[in-house]
Amino acid sequence: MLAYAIQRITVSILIVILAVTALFVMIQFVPGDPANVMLGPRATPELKEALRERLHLNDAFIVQVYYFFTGLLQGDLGVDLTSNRPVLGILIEQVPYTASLVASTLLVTLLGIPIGTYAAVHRDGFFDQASGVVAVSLIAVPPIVIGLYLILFFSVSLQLLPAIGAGEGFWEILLHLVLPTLAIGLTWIGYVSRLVRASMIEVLGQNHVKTARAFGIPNQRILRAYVLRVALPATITVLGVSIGFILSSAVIVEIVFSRPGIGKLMYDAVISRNYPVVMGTVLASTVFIVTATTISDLLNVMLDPRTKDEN
Amino acid sequence: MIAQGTNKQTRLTRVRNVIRKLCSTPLGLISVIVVTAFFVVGITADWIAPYDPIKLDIPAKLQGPTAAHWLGTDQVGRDVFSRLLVGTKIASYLAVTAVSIALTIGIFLGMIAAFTSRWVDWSMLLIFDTVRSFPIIMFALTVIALFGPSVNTIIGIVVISTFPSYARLVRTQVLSLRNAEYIEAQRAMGASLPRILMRHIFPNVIGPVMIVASMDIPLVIGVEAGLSFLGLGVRPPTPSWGTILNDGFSFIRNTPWIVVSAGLPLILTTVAFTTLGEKLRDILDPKLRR
Repeated sequence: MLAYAIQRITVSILIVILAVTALFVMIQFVPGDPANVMLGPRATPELKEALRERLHLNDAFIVQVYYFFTGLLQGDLGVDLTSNRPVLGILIEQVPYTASLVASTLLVTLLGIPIGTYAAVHRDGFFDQASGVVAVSLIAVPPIVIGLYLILFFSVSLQLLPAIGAGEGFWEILLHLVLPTLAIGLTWIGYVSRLVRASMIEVLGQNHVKTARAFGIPNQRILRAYVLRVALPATITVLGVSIGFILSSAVIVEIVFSRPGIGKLMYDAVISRNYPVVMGTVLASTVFIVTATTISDLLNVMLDPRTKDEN
Repeated sequence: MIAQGTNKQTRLTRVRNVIRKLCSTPLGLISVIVVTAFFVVGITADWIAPYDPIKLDIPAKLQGPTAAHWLGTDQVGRDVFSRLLVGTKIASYLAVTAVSIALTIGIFLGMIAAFTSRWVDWSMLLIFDTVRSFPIIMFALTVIALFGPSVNTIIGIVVISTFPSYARLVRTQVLSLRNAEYIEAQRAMGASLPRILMRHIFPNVIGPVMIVASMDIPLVIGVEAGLSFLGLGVRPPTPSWGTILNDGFSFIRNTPWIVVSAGLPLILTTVAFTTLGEKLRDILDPKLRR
């Protein structure tokens, strides 16, 4: 287990380094002078030279990567080009908004477990078929469309829930989380319910379950014994693999709902070509995703040692 | 020659059988119809659109649905229905080009990874996983920050972020086939590696890959819509589903029908492609059925 954990974490660190290096490689291919792109056409040559010097753009790219990682180890991610504030500080300010959105999405996703279990137990019944069609639809439709329809229905027509910003104070923050969470989470409720259903059906058909039934153990008790043992690894796997997609959707949803957060920060940085901030958000999201997938892998191996070989 | 002729014929009957099975359930039939309509409209949009999708008509702006304008008009009086039809052009073009490029690269690299030394295989896997670990929208935003928005940028983004999953799938499939007896037999008879790959392995891996590809098309359509909505995809005034959604979003309080009608084709096509993928999987690969 320990050896596996060490191996898994090493690979994760490698992935982060590779991703950031790839970003530097891409910047090398930007047509024209990056300083020109960032400062606009009216900047004086001196200004551009100063910026190039500050961002180490005159050095070879491997030197730039070196500066980035040594800076990173000292907690220095560079300076925002527009506000002159350290990027790390800005990131730390924005992380809680995105983290709370992702956390509430993960929480909502757990609704898929009872739905999937019920569908599996009453296989081919009305609920099973209806939830199957709804789940496939939810999985397919892009979160942006779900988000816009939710705004239309709950904010514009019914005027029940807020559609803009993140709110202040506990109750307001919760209310402001509802629609963005659903916009991302409905898809994953669909996924989890389908997967839990499939794994439950598989288990319920196995010999030891049949034997338990033959011994007269009540169905309820058998279910209770298996629901968590079967549903948990399935859910953890889905969420671990899909945390990247959830974060992706969070970016779009944050912009649609004008919510502050890493996604909004990145979008604004992209629009204004604020490279240091783009770098910081890319690093933050990669680290977040790699950590999440590693944790889900390790959790799964702990719950079911057989999965170790598959990874 | 005779053997090859029958081979082709059985393949044709097999395709015909798959289509017949697809259309035998109501959901399958509907998804086949919607997917066909998507491509037909995509090709013929310019001819069947009742109005010029980029012609301004300011006096007629933000009208509700009428007999003349089935889905109303937008903030500068353009016919929303025509814009949606022509928007299908971009969506279908992207779906076809991006997915087929990604498929080609993925199948090629997956086969190589499965048949080379451990080290090449291992480093390719690391690269695939790095690409896969990166959220597509974040990746898209970064690429757009560097290279600017355009349709080709979107194709590049989709190709780079989807080919690793095809490559990984092909690699696993090939690994399980590599030591099959009939492949060993071919090798013993002196067949070259390219011949084995193309004639014997490729036909066996293409099925599962096509299923994943069909399920990836909603992703492509969603990414285009998302990026164009953010103003980072297709440039105005060219109509795309995302830009129309964005036009409608600005006036969501007073004229909600633009958002509603721009969302409908997105919902229809994405659900149809996903259902099609699921049905195909049930038919071609019953073992995978979940």
